[in-house]
Amino acid sequence: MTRRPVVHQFTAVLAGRDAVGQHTLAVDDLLREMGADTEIFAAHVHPEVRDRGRDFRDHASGPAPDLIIYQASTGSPVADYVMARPETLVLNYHNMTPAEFFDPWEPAVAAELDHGRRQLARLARRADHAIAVSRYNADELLALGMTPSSVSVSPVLFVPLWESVDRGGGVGGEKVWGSDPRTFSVMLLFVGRLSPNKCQQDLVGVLAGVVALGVDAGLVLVGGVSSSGFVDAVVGLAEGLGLGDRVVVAGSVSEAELVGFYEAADVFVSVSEHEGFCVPVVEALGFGVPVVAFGAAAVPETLGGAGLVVGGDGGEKSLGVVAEAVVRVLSDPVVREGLVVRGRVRARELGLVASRVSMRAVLQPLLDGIDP
Amino acid sequence: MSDSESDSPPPTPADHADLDDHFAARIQAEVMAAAERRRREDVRLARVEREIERVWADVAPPGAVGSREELLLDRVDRLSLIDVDAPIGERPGIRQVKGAIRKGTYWYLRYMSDQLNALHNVHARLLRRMDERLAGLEAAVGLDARIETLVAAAAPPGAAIGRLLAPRLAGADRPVVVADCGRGECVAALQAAGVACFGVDVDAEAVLRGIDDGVDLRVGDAAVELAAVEAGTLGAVVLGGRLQRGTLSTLLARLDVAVAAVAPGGAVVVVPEDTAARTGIDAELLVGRSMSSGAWARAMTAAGLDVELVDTGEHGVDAIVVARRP
Repeated sequence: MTRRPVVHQFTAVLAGRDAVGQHTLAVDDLLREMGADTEIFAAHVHPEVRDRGRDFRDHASGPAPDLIIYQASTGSPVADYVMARPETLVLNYHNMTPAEFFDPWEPAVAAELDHGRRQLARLARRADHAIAVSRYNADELLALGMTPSSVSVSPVLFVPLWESVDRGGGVGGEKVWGSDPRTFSVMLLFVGRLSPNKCQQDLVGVLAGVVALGVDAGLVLVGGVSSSGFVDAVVGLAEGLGLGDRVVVAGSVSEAELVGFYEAADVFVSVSEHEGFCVPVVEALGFGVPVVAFGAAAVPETLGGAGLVVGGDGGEKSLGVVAEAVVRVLSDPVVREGLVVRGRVRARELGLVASRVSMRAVLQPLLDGIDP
Repeated sequence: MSDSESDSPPPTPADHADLDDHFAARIQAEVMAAAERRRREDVRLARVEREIERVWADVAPPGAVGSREELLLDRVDRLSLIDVDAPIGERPGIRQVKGAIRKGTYWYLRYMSDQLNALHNVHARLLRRMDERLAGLEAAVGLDARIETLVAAAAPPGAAIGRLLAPRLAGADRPVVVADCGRGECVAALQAAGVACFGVDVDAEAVLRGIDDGVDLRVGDAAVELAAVEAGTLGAVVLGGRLQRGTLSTLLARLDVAVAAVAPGGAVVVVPEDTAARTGIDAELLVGRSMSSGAWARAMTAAGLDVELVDTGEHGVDAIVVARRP
């Protein structure tokens, strides 16, 4: 009789609502379906998922697993712990924001990210296999010395919001464009942490361009805060440009509010300069919202031709070009419809069903390699 | 939704015939061309962009402003003008105390701002000197961008060049890239001969016209795109148009990038202008900014490539240099 393989996942933070947390939980579910005994360990476990994860400091006193999967997205003492373990180590890489983005705003965060990058270089040397959530991330691991045969690519597993909730039940859109006196004809939306690498200040610039081109538009920024100084500066920029009443910093919102924003949005605009995958872009595609994006990092790969990508890939970021693209999407129904149709197809390609198949194909050989 | 959209007829299935592989590339090229046109014709947008930079420099910390030193210095200058506005009370005694506090605060802040100003002035002087030195260096190596606006633009390779190259690139089992392709006449000729090929050019309007003709073209700075290509992944690189112009060190560096991009057995092709066919003024301004076929051939041979010179018979074009990686 063969015993069941034992797989332990490790992550810095286990939370039910962030992309890495959702992915970790979904991988855990998948591994169990594949016949493994699993556990999740983290440096911090959010109360909402307390029944799914344990403190990683308790791990050393328990039985050893056959395989460790480390979800890497930031610097963490968890990484040092897993590197010191003797078991087969699989690195699941979600990317880390380069520290330069945070240097002027949050030096402490920048130091943590810098530490994370150094840890990543050591992880790449120590890991037996890596799963990158995008080709872009895989290339970073190859640049750190991993071999092509030891790196697989499999997208982030996340709950597709556009399928999992009752549509039309959202309140975010109503809150902003209904009861709020600030009502505009067009809603530009961005979802993602308010963070210097996501360049929300450039979204305010795009809004300025769109308004200058004669469109009565407003901008909604949804997402938690990574740097309060950065948020103050973004708000200050909007006010300095006379656009203060057109920019809504919604911050972290409930799932129902988020659905409402996606349903109310006319265009999802991203001018982010660093993304390892960018789940919100896929959510926007799933909700049938056309996407206009600056083509930096993994964003063009995630869009897969389903969004309007302008600039990037070493090219200059021009807010005027992004604004022109937004206006084109708003004013040309053929382009809009073309993007929406392609977007829905792309969202299915990256949805939970397809991504689980991809992840299963990557995990199966790893489980097969465990001695029974 | 915007009025313009509600006034437009709804899309029909025939409209979605556009949903082919070139859909995104076509719209991107159209958007970039429209943005270029608008930038030329509408001064408001340029004003908005300047205003965005100015306000951002006001609200963001110095490191987040980027390399716009003049904006940073402007901000530093304004920061040094500190407004001292201590409150003045009405009750006897309090007024004098507050006045003394105000005067002391003012003197202290003025002292601090004088010190800061002195430091800023030193920085500004250093930056200016560095700027002057850089300008001197750029002038010495011929990097003055104004030259490009004073001379006739270099023409991208045409259809005749494409037909000449087709039999030499026919065996390529990886993509062939025509860098600085213009509207893609050379690319079209290569594609017609069965060569898997696409073109890159920074001129969005030219690319748009080529895409309209059904040619596979992308908008982008070909020099930047080539530098980003993974080593050994292309079947051939054709350098023409603006890419065969530049200072000698630039051209040699560009050659290295192209050689690295092609796979073993692949080819680097240069379509150089005929320097002898230039008019007097162009010849004068372009001294040291291009290489003849012979010079390219020597550089490529030195790089370890097998070189073939192909006569074109076209006015203004020197012999094409086809160099293969062993």
